[in-house]
This record gives sequence, C-alpha cells and structure tokens, in this order.
Amino acid sequence: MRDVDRRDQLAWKHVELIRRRWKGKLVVKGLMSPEDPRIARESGVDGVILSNHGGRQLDYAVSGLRALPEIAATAEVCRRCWMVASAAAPT
Amino acid sequence: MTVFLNYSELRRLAQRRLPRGIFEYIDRGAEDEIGLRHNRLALDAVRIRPRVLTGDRPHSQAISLFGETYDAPMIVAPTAFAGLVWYRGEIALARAASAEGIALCAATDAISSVEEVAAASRGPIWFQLYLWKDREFTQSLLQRAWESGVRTLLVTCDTAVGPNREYNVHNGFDMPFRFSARNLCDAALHPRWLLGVLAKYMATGRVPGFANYPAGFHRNIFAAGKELPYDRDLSWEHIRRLRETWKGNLVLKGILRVDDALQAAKMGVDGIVVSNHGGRNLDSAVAPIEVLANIVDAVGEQITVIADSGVRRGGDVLKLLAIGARAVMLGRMPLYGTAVGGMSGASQAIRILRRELDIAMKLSGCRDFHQMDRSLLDTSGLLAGRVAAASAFE
Repeated sequence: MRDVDRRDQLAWKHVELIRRRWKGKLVVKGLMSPEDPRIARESGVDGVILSNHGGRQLDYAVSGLRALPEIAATAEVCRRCWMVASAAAPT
Repeated sequence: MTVFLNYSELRRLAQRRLPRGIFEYIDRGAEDEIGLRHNRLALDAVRIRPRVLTGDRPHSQAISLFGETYDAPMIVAPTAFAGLVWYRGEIALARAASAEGIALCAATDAISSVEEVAAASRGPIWFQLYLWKDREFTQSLLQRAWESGVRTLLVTCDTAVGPNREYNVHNGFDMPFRFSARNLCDAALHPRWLLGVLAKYMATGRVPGFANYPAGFHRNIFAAGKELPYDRDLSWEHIRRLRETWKGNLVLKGILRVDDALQAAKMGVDGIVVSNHGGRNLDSAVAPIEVLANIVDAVGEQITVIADSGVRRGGDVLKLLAIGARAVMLGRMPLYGTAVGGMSGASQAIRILRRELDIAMKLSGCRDFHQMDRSLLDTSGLLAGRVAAASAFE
C-alpha cells in the first residue's frame, strides 16, 4: 500500500534513484536552503526551483526571491543549472 | 470542552469564559502594549530556510535540562493565580505537564502550595521565587520548596517594581480583591467561571489565597491581611547570598543584556531565562529573540540559556532553539488551556505546540535539536528598521 501522505523519509538518495531511471531533464522543486542546490547538482539534477510552495507549507519559511541572491551567487551552480524562482503573482 | 486548534482559538475561548479582569490580567501587556506587539513582530520577522530531503532518521524532541530528561523543549512558566482560572488550576497544570512529559515551574504567587503542586507532578517541579524583604520568610519558603523535591529555582529579576498595567485599575483587579459594582457584574456575566471556579472554592471551604505565603499574609484574597512586601532593592548581592544558601540549580529569569548574562555566569548561576516577562513589565523592552544570539554566544557554553515571551506556535519554539536557547517557557498558552478545560485543556494546548514543532522540524529538515542552528534561519528581518517599519503598519 503506497503511503501518499508521509514523505518525511525522502532523502537525496531517492533523487539519485530517480536520476538513474529518468533520461530526460530532472528538476527539484522547493529548495530554499543555500547548500541544497549544490547537493542537487552533485546528484545530477538539471534544474532547481526556489520555492516555498506559495506560502502554503511552512508559514515562516523564507520566500524564493529572498533565497535567490545567495544561491545565485554560487557561480558553479548557475553555470550548470537553470533556476526558476517561484513567487506569488502580484494581484 | 470545545475544540481548539491553535493559540488564537484557545485564547478566544478563554476570553469568553473568564471574567474580564482575570483575562486581561493574563492577556495584556504594560502601558501602551507596544512591547506585547513587538514580541510577536520580532518572532515573525525571523524566517526559516528549510533543508530538504534529509532522509529517514527518527525524530526526537527530547532534551535534558539540569540533569533531567524531558520529552520536549518546553517548560510551563510560573504564572500567578493559575488557581483562579480553574478550580485548583496549578494542580491541573502540573498534571498536564507530567502527562505531556515537559517540565513545570510553580509560582510563588500561586493559589495551591508548592507542596500540593509537587505532589501532583510525576517528576520534580521547578519553583519560581519573588524575593520578599523578610529574609526569614524567604528562607522558610525555600526550605519548603527543597523538601518538596524542588532542585531548580528560578528567581525573577525583571520585576523590581510593580509594572504599569492600567487595565487592572479599570477592571478593579487588585490584591486584596475588593468587590465593586464593576467586578461583581464582570463575575456575574461569566457564570461558568463563577460556578466552576469561585463557587467550588467556597463550597469546599477553601477561600482562594496565596498558599505559599506565611500564615497571616494574604491567605485569603478577599481579606485585607498584612502586607508582605517584596524586596524592591534586589541586587547582585542578593543573588550572591542566594547562591551560597541554595544548593540546587539557580536560574535568573528576566535577563536581556549580555553584560547581565555575563554577570550571572560570574555569580555561578546555572541558567538564565532571556525574557521580557511576556511584554508585561517594561513596555519598551527589547524582544528576547532580538538579543538571544548575542547572549548565547557570550554565556551559552557555561550556563543553560532558556527563552520566553510571546511563544504561540511550534515554529516560535523552533526559531528560539535554532538561535541557541536550550528550551522555551510557555506562559499564556497552557494557562488558557487550563482556563478552558483544566488538565485536559492544558494537555491539549501543550500537545498542539508539540505537534506544530514536530511539523516545523520535519518541514525544515531537522531530525533533532543538533540540526537546529542559525544556518536554518534568515534573521535579516530583525534589523531595527524592518521590525519598526512593520509595526508602523499595524
């Protein structure tokens, strides 16, 4: 029986597993911590989406836009990956 | 008991149930209550930078404080008159804290005595002291605390004089309690409290009073009794003397400056609580979260640093721990839980905070407190300008 609710067992090793099986472009969505895009690149990921899930998950998480400068400054990550920062659309 | 899902809902339930005088005594701050708002703005200004995909190791909220292990990094704070929000409210709180595996600090100004609260608790309780001018009375109270198994003493240092809380004057909430048309009306409009709390005390012949006070002093909140003055000239000399006589853990509550924290460490205390008394004392005081990092950096290796003031969500606990506090004290939340449902209400309040902390830890990629450090946080919002600017729009 697949556990569709609890995903707290997920680790980078699962991303590597998916990377081995998926031949197309692989993008990891929901990163905000500065070290995570580097780990993503090392796992062979093609892109990252800086996102706090539209403010719907952790109420006091930083916004993708605030996380962007520090992460973009890591030049190595920039060269290898394309980044999309998702932010709430202004109304 | 009506269901509540968070602090806000719980607070509204407590507000409906408690007479206004008692509710406002607990809920509000001092003077213009800017400090009360500032505590929340400062906490909310700190954001989290969650780590993802941190794998499947077991989660734990357990901590050890002064040699005792607890299930979560929270302590029920010493709030006065908990016995006025529920019949034997301090007992209910002690039972709730034991049931939820967290520490509890009993108050000097409690309706139930330190002996009764200790008996209701599974493990040893902590005790908070307001130093009286009469040293003999203070010593005998400390003796009673010791004999009840108390080994951790919290000395309140931030209440050198009675704070300026104007609503207490308007509500006629003072000691000794004097009936007036206003507060009689207040009590009459809150029948669940009148029947559930006050009437119960009267029926059992237990007029509420300060059970920790010596005989003849405020043992009955309605009687004038003799005045037992606090020592308003508290100084480091008092702490030095206390350090010599108290053989257990000594914690100073109400530290907001690095130099005071260093002095406390120099005096040989075992811990401090970085606190502005829930925004209830000095309206212009800094928020603990603003000064916590510097204090932890100065003394965190030598003594145990605890924090409080304004904690309402598990995320607040996460932030304070990530900055470096070992644990967090909870004043209003468990007290409102007690007001609404006695032991079950208080337990439910604590459980809610623990669940929120659990979710926050999991969404931030923290398995336990070792993974909580400042790299988890974005504290740029704490810069004076930003918090001030935010409050301008309130």
